[in-house]
Amino acid sequence: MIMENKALEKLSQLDNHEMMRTITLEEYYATPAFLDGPGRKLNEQAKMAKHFGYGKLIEELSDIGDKRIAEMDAADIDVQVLSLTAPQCSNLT
Amino acid sequence: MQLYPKRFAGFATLPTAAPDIAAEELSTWLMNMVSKEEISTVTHEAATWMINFFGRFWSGQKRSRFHSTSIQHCHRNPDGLSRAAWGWHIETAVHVLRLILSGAFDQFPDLQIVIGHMGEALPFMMPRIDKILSPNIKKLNHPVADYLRENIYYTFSGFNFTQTFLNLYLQVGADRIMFSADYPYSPMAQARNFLDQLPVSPGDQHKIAHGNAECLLRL
Repeated sequence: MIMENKALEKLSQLDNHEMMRTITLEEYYATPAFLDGPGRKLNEQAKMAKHFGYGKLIEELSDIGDKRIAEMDAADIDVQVLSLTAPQCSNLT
Repeated sequence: MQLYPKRFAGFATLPTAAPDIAAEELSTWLMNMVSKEEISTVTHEAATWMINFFGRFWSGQKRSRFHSTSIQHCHRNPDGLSRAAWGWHIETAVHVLRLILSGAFDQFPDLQIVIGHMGEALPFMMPRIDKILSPNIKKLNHPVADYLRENIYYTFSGFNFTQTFLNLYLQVGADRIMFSADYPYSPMAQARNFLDQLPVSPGDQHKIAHGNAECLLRL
């Protein structure tokens, strides 16, 4: 059903790599309430892991604005489809 | 996010372990997304579907959960083995297989699920799984590989590895593969470079980069 889509058919016939729109599908964010709640452990671990290259993790997760857009522009990524980071809404109790 | 409506979209987060609440949450979420005329039908259908699906199939998964504890306990440094090096992926793969074997996709043939990490090792095991778990034995309408090719989409999620990609590509084809970075756990630029270097035709590259996502998510 989805495969019969005409837009996809058209794409199959493309013969150049230019001007390619890019959509990324597994991209995460966090909110302050989440980092105080279900994401508390992640928050603590990220602080402890600062020396292992994840120093900016919480900052990066928390920004869905200018900084993220700048990084998307630099990497040529047009759209991010965002998800709340793990553990999402598990561990609520 | 609202400042950049053309740059961001989002997936709803649902408490799948509690199907009734998940259904309610999805209904509320949909109420904000669709026009008023559509609300009653859409939300009713979505709620029924959700209770049915998560209640019967998904929550059953939790009870029969794969032996994650044994992975954790068999190693002195459980963080890597039970999580990002192996455990997360293998558990997701087992989860997907259990969903297929439960008959969920026979009951909901249009259901599409997106998984990450180039298929969580499922493409590697696909011919073997298909050979051993035959539809007759498992009382399914189709061979297991059919569900893996028609009900599941696969994204990169930082698996910027050519060999792994080629295996997935050969097993499921360009129509089922979608681009992703796994940001901020994996850098965007690395993912984009990998996409540019894929050994596929321009047409397939466009499907993977945006075409499949546009069709599936109506972006």
